[in-house]
Amino acid sequence: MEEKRRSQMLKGVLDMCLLALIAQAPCYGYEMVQKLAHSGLDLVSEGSIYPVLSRLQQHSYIEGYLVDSAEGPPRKYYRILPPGRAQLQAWAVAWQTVASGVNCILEGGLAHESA
Amino acid sequence: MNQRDQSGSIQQLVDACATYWLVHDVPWRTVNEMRLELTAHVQAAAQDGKAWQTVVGPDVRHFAESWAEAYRPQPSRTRQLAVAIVFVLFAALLTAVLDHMLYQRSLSIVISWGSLIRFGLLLSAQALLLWLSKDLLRDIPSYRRRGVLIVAGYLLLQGIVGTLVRATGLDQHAIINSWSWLATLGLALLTGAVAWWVIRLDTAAALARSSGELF
Repeated sequence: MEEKRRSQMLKGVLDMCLLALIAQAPCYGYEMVQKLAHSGLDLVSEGSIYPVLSRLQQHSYIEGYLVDSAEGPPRKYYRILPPGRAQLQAWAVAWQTVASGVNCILEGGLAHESA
Repeated sequence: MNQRDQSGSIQQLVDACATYWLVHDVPWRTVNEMRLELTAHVQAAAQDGKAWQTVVGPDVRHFAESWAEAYRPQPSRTRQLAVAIVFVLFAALLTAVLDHMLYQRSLSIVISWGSLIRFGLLLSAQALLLWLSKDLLRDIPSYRRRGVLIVAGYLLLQGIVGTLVRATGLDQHAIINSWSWLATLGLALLTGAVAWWVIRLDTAAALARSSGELF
């Protein structure tokens, strides 16, 4: 139940998280999943990142390019584009506003609980 | 599962998804990239001891559809409006044609409250039928087959609704106006023109997508 709720919450901000990961350094799909998991953000279905990446690409926030891999088929790497950087800034501001509002309400609720 | 079985099932999974994408209007060059990306991911996951279900989830079709949808252009408001107009015009046309050929058997027919109720019921029943069968229709790639199925649905519903309304006797009473075959012909031409325009909008969008892939 809690896992499902966490997954739903992540789904709502997955595009922002992926854009932020790509902004740090160009990376491929599986690498992004590993980085998300490393931050404690596990996806129920790892492949759910691909439709999101495709949409980011269609909005010209990122672009993909194939790189040969010694371990298997070529990997598709993604790098961020200038409109993506601008969008990431805007999303980050919106997220900070929402997160601080939610935190404020949660803290009030938890303080009331313990009182 | 040994390595050979595993690579076989990965191949099957990727082939199934690629077929789905090709059938559902994703350009072939994009499908090739999606195929490579999915293969690389599932193979890497397998090396880490994960099953392919971890990647695509329990429902492969749902996964393939959600990815295909990302490449499908959102229908414009103009197209949505045009489709709704075709939908209404076609129901009116069919109501009139069946009155000419079956219920009143005349070149000049009368519009009664019964025919208006029949038209309204047909429209609602068809909207419900389309909504219930939208997944099934989406899986049919050909316009012609989709069209034949929709017309068959219309005819079936018209038969049921027509029989029910005629049983009430409303068709014979409460006459509002008369309707000539020329008006029906005009309605047919208008319906055909709007439907042709919708198909042209879709074809233009598909061509734009393909040229975007080529250049």
